[in-house]
Amino acid sequence: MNQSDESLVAVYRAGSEPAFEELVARHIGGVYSFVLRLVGETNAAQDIVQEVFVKVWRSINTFDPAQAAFKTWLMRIARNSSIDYLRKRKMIPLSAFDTEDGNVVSDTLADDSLGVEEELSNLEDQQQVMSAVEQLPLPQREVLLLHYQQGLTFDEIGVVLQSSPNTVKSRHRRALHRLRQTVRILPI
Amino acid sequence: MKLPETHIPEGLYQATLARVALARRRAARIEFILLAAVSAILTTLGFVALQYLATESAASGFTAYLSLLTSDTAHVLGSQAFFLSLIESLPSLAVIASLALIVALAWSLRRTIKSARSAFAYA
Repeated sequence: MNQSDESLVAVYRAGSEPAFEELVARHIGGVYSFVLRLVGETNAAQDIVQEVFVKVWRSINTFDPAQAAFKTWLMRIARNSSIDYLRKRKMIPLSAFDTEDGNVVSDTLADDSLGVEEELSNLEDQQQVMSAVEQLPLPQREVLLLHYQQGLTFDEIGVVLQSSPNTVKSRHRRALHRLRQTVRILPI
Repeated sequence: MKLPETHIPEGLYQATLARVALARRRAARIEFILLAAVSAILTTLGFVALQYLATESAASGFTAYLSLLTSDTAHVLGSQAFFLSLIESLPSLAVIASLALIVALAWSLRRTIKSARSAFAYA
């Protein structure tokens, strides 16, 4: 069975239970990886993943494929659930996402993202890059995870984060620069 | 650049499906309780409506006209005036109320049975 996610949603809505199980099987790995890198705790991540799919089940009838791809919609739920968890645990301030203004960075940094990206890709130890990603501030970390781990475009990330694509691109650029600095500092 | 995905802990997939099933059962039970309450209310109202219908039918003469139909069938069948009187004496408000309640009760019972199946199917 190689149906698209959106077709599986339609099949599930028509009454086929295995279609939902297939959706869970397809995306549980991606959701878990993303959530774990955001919250940093294995047990909490597992709990959040379960909660995410319960939320998906509850609101699957409101999912509109014309507005966003299923994966984008799913990652938005996963991201919001993780942020809720972090806020409840007071691990991030309430204003952490409100003060991020992408335009400032785009004005001050040259756009050499492709060069930085290539430089980071050439590093043999990708685990080192992953460790550096974990040290990034949350707004930058989630952009990198959604782009390089989950394969979402900047427009799709904008939908997930409810931010403009320009803000996303700006955070991405800032994250790559910071990542390069961190990787240089880390011992190889 | 491609960031690696993390290895999924063993049992997470099953645990997730189990949690969704639990949430589904809870939702179905809540729905069942609400629908059962609605059905009970509609049943009570249905009895009240039928009593009202019986009282109104007697008061308007509809019951008496109707009894003529069975006791003196041959005489009244050819009479157009009889059928007009029968229709005129019909307590329309009571009939509409009773029918509406019967339809609502049938819908409610159907939904209650359906939600009971979901609520207790996997228990």
